[in-house]
Amino acid sequence: MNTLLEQELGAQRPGPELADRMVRRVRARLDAPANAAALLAALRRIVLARPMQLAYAVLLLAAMVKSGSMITGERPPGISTEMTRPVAAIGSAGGADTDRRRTADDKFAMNTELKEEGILQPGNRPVGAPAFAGRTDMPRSFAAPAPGDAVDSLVAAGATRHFGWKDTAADGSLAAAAAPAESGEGGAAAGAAALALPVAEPQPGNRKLIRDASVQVEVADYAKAAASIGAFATGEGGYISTQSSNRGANGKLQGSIEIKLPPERLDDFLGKLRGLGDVKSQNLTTQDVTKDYFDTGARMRNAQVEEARLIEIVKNRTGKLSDVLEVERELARVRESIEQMQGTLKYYDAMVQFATVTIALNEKDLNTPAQYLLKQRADLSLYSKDVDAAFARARQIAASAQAQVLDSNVQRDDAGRTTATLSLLINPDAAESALGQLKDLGRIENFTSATQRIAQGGSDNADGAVRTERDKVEAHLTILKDEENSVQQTEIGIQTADIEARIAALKKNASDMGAEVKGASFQSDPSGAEFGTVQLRMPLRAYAGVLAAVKHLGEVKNLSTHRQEGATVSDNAPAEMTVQLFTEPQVVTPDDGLWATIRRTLGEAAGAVAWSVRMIGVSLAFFAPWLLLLGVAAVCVKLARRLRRKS
Amino acid sequence: MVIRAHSRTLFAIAFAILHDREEAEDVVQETFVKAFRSRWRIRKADRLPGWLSTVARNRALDLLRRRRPIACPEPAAVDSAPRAADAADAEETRELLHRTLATLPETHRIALTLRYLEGLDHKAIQQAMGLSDGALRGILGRGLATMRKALKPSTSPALE
Repeated sequence: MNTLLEQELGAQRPGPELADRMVRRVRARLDAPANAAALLAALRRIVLARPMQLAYAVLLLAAMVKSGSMITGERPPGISTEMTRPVAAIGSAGGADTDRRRTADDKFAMNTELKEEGILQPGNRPVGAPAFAGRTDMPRSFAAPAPGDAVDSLVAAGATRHFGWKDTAADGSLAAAAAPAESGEGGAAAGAAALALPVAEPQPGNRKLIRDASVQVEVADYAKAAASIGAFATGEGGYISTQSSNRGANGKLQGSIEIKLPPERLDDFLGKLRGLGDVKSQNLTTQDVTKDYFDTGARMRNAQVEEARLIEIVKNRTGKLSDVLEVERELARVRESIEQMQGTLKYYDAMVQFATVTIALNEKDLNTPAQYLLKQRADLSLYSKDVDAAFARARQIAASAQAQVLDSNVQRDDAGRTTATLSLLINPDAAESALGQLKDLGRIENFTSATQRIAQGGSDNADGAVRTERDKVEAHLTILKDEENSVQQTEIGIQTADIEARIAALKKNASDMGAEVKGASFQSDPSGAEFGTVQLRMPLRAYAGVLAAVKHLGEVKNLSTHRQEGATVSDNAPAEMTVQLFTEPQVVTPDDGLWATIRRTLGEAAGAVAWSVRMIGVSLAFFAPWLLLLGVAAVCVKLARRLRRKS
Repeated sequence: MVIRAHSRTLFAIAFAILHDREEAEDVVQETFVKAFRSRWRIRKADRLPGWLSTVARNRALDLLRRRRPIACPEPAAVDSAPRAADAADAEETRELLHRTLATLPETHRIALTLRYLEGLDHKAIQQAMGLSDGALRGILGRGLATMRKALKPSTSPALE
């Protein structure tokens, strides 16, 4: 067998030239120009190389993390692209970090305020984050009342004293006046317009005035008078709110009726009341709550933005449970605050919508002819740009009316604001004229006229004429410094660094450009986040320059502009700007020592790894059914091919 | 040096599978070309012979699978003239030997070819095929036993 194999296989043995032949052939093959197949082979070697395989694995994991993130909609922890609240945010969106927990007491530590004037009242102080971003309702623009509105003259019978507010009609001049203010910015204006939130529709007559009146009327027939009052109220678009009556010891009916009606119909209603009987006394008050109303509205909107941010933090929570609980406590407090302010606004709306007239009715006791002394007191508050000049003029009016000056006073406070008061006793014949002239001295803030008829014996039902003697009119005048309401309000949020330096630079630039700094504040919290506010007031002609300077402070995050409509606006009309500066949120807060920082960073890294693993799991769970389906399909195809081959 | 040292061994392996000299030489050529282009993958020199043998064997098997079935030659017409009995027997024996060799498992065939075509010793065959001494002895023993069993009736005493 061995011999046979050696003989047969040995015959096939190649000669010694095999090696030479192989060398030549291999050399020729290697020297041949590269062709497509060789290039493909080279490419295949590169693609299948071990380092490339590792890169494929990393890419696959990253793709799975990304797909998991897209499926769940979650963002990686510790990274936030929206503005983080620098002060009021409690805890953070990513990573367990015990060092960043803050108690309620030290939450707003290092709160430094630079109050220039008393503009930043305690109620208006910004508590926490910027007050915009995402707001959908804007403060209503309000029409500035034209100074020296026409008022009705004093009625000699002393029944009523009233005045009316007139709303200036929109004539389109505001748009023309505002355009030059923005045209100087060019592209900046376009950018500002792009960033501006939609402006709410303006409401006519946006001043909030609460009007009340109380009247005492003596009538012959109580029931008839009460019915007439009801009819008067209905006719003027009002209604009876409350009504009560009782019969006195003398058998006469007396009672009280409260009427609610539109404030613009109040004067007509009071005029009708005079026809019912004798008006024994009348008191008319008007309370201007405009400032309080809009301040409350602005604070409520700030709180709503804060609430939205807290809800977002709670929803995306990845921190410790204690941080989450702290956020929820803050959220409850903010919600309570919002509800309180909403209640206040509703109360104001209700009170402004309807004037209240309280009527005290009593039946006359007719015996002897009545004698009355009519006493009148008028309280008038005015706004004037020049208090001293208005006060001097008031003295002249008093002198020309031969009024007796009971008190005269001019006060100046530390901020340079002047207030003047003047108390007079005016002869009844000259009172109407004198009061009319006094009202023309400035913009009326409040006017109250109270008329009291003091019975001095007798009865209205007795025979004989009723005698009424008019006493001197007591007039009290208060003149206040008028600050015209701004025609344009702008709020802008800037993200930048070194807030204090930016505030100082802004104040300097604003002053150089003719703007007045009304107030400024600065806050920082233990996490290193800083927050500052500067309030500016400037003529409209300086608005564009100031806005451009503000935008250079950093990155504009929010910009909203509210413009008054319905009034003539000049380049000198005042505009107000609230600039809110805040720092970029820090992922790793500065804290004590290197180890604390390393600890926090490791914690956040661990959180990020855990999050990535979770996303990979989500991705696997999402794609597993598809992979299973593809695997089953591949097996079926393979089986089918095998069966076909066998057959 | 590598080509001269290993070309005959690789030829024997390829021939054992393909039974064709031309194809066997092509396989050897492709093996060395691949070895040159993938030389960075071989980190230890003592692994080279085994690696070359594996590549040659795989290429030969690929070629064998792709090879089209070769038409069997027409059997030669029966020569009516009387032939020498010994020559006819020898021819029949050679044919039987080759057929039996072709039916052997691949490892047996390669081992026998390396042993009897190239005359390699056991150590060289172990290195070329990556086998232990015991495994190689078993393979050679079984291969020879199969051959003997198949050729026993036709083996003439003159050829032993």
